Amino acid sequence: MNLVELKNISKIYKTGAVKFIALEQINLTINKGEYLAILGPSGSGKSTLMHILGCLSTPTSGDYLLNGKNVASLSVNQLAKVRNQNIGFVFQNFNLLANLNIVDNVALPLVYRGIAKEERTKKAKELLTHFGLGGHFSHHANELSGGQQQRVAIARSLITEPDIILADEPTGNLDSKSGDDVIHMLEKLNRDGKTIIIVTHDEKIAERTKQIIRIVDGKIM
Amino acid sequence: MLINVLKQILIDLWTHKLRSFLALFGIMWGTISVIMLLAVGNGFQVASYRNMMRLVDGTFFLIPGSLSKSYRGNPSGRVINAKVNIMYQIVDKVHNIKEITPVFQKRSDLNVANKKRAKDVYGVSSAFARLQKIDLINSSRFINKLDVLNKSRVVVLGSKVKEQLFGDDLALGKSITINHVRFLVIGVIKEGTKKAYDWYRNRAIIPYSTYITMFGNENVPYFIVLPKASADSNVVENNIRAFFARHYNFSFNDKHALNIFSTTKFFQFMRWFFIGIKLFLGLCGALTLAVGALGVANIMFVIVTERRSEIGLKMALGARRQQILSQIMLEALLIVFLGGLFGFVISSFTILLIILIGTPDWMGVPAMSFDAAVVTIFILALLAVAAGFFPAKQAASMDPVEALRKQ
Repeated sequence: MNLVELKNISKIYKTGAVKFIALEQINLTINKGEYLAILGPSGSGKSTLMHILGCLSTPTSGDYLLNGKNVASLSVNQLAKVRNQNIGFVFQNFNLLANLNIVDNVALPLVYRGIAKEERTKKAKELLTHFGLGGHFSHHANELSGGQQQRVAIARSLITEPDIILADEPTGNLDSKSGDDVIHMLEKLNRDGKTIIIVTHDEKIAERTKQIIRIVDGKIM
Repeated sequence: MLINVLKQILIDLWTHKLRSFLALFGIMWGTISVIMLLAVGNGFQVASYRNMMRLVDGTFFLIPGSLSKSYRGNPSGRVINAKVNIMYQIVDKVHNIKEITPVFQKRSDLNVANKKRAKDVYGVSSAFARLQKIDLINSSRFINKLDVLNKSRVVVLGSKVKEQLFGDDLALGKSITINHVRFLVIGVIKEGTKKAYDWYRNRAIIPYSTYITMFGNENVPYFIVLPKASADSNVVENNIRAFFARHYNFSFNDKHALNIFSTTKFFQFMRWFFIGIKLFLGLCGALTLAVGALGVANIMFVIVTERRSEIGLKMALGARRQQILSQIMLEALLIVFLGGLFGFVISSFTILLIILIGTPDWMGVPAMSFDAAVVTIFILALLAVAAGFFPAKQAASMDPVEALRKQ
């Protein structure tokens, strides 16, 4: 069974009488364990596609089957549940909460699952140790380097053991060495069986994935 | 999670100290307004009731006036001169009268040795003490029927009059002069016991018959009447009016000819009057509190705007709308709770301070009643929900994509 199946997905934004077609008749299938890049220039629609894949927004038309279940017309709260259970996000600017230490940041998705504090903390610490941040548990995001912050963000994306990791320009705010480390980390996760989707405008990053989906003017080329 | 949320709220409040202080101050000031106004209202009510205690519930004050319109040959404006003897006819003809007294009153000079004071002297019957809840000091007695019959020159002194004329010396059994006529002091009214207002502490009371003899005026300014407990107050009132109307030849409906002041109706009116006053004061305080709540709502809107990306992230990680809503609501509730708490503490100390400093008799002692506390807490809770709900709703209905974009 396909992990992700997009059928004739379109996304149209309307502002008064003005219509803007962000995505047009997108058909895409992603299997479990794939490592692919959605590549496109700014304004191409790649972020819109990522938002739909991440269940952050719903398509104007078309079907989105995730694990065989159509999530295109779910309610806001049902989509929140899907995001929490099936999708892990890695953002360009890490999106760590400044007032929480890195353990609490990593454990945050489990809060919305109703997991007990003790269990959340244990799991978060295991992941952070796995990513070489074992000595920084009490640190806050602003006390870490960019590369370390992105590792925290990756740990957070993994804590719910999601089906897909969606990484939006994951190296965009990092120096080349840290960026390279992050890509290595994602490659290793893919080798371990995780499905990784990187959204990027960087050809070099895209070329390191197994499959590239090129998107231009809202269409897959 | 709750600790984290509380920590987050405190951090937010601390980050924007001035804004937070102003929001807290608004609630605090509003709470103080509600509590203080209700407490002062409460004290005033208690003081006023205490002042009214001398009025026995169920009594009537009959105040003869003048005709407001001509009636069967009796011209408009004619004065009703009620004499004492009418009192006995009232008892005879109007059934269910338990007690009755005429009340005369005149400013007179009271002398003892070289001490002289001008005081109001009352001429009344023996029923007066019961009708006005007058308590006397030990060994005293009030005017009795024999005193009235014999036109005895006996006097009962108010506590202040006694103090001014006799100081610490005993007054009972001693003589004073009223307008140069010698009187024997037979009673002294107790100093204010808080059970009854000390209305008569600065007055002297003599038998009405003696009064008429002394001053020569037989026209009674007013009567105090107490119906029997079993009697219907309205029926008795109507019967009295009908009797007077017949006797003095004026229309039953001419209220101006005989003004009847019913303490029962007065007490009923006062109960509603104080409910009205409390409602008004409470409303004034509540409006102040509402202005404070607007401040809280304002700060919550700012917090929501500033934390868009955080809210967007939480939504991306799986937070449901209710969870975002409850977080913001909790923040508003905490601000209102803290403001309310400070308000309660400051009000309590202020009330205590006012009690220590003292207040005029008419104002009474401000008291934070249970009712006032419940009303304040209820208003606070209502406003907290209102202040938090709209910003929280705004936060919860954010589009996660839009919220994540604003960074």
